[in-house]
Amino acid sequence: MNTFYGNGAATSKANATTSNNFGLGLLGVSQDNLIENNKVGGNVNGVYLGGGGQVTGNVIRHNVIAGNPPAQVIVTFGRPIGADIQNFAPAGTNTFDDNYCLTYAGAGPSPCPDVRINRENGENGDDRPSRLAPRDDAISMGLTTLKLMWGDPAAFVNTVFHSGRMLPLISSALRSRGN
Amino acid sequence: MQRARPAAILLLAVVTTVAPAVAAEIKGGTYTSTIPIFEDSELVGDVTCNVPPTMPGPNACISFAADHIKLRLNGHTITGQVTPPTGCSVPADTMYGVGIEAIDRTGVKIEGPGIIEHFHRWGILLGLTGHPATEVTVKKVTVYDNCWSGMQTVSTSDSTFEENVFADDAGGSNGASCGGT
Repeated sequence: MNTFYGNGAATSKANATTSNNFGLGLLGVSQDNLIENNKVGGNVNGVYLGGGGQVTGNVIRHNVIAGNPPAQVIVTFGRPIGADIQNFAPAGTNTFDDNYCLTYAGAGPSPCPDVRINRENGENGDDRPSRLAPRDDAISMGLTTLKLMWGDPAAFVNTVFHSGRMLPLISSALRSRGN
Repeated sequence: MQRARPAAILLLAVVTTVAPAVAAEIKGGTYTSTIPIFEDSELVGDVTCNVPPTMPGPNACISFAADHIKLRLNGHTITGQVTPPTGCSVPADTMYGVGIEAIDRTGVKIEGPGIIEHFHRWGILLGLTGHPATEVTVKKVTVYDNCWSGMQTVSTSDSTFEENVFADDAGGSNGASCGGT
């Protein structure tokens, strides 16, 4: 699990009503990443997906994304300054699944609020919802063909943000594919 | 006199061969030029970096200069020169300071615990446009109070980031879209 706390400034862009700062951001050409089992709180935006149409195929799941932005930031700069999930990508091009989140700004159906997950500590005490076992769809996504990115301000490709317990399951998936 | 048995000699040779390599030590103190690492390395004290941004692009405190090597922070702190928002890089800058860089590298690892803080742009920089980073691991690292993102990845793939803390970064990104990671 990674934690993203208190990142970003509301005033990064002068006189803007929304901030382009965040806890975890996918910008430029950022494709086919798995962002899983992280805690994201107290940032101007929690998870930020940039525009331009090339932030696609990412799976954001099983994260706790709340308290973005902090109340004082909302009081000072207004509610639109940020959200738990700020999504400028086209609707349906990324997958939000079972995140604990409260606020969403962006296209498509809102994945927030979603407070359904059981946040009792997982077996390693990492707050991972015990009922949310990794599934084959996300595991196979980690095996997609590498896309080379040139000229981009930022690019995550097939990058995994997660607690350490995903790896053995990926290995088992690879073995089963070889059979 | 008893002669050594061939099997015992063989065992001694194997033990000698597989003895673990000792990581290179990065001593604590103040550094004014980039520390390139060519082999497994570890901090043995807190590091303060006063590397002036004199070269085009990133001017790193520590730079991975080989593939498939590891940097262990050993609980120590790597501190840059600025306290955001004062003194932070602006997007027009062509030279800027970063904490640790891995550019055109594969299979490198940054392992905490340890803190990377107060850098001019990014705490950690992986890849640049046209200079990818692959199979990078960043684990148990705290990246705190850097001007732009705590960790910036560009053309980075097949990498794993786990058990890290990104806190209070992007306090001085001067309009750039930045954050924890």
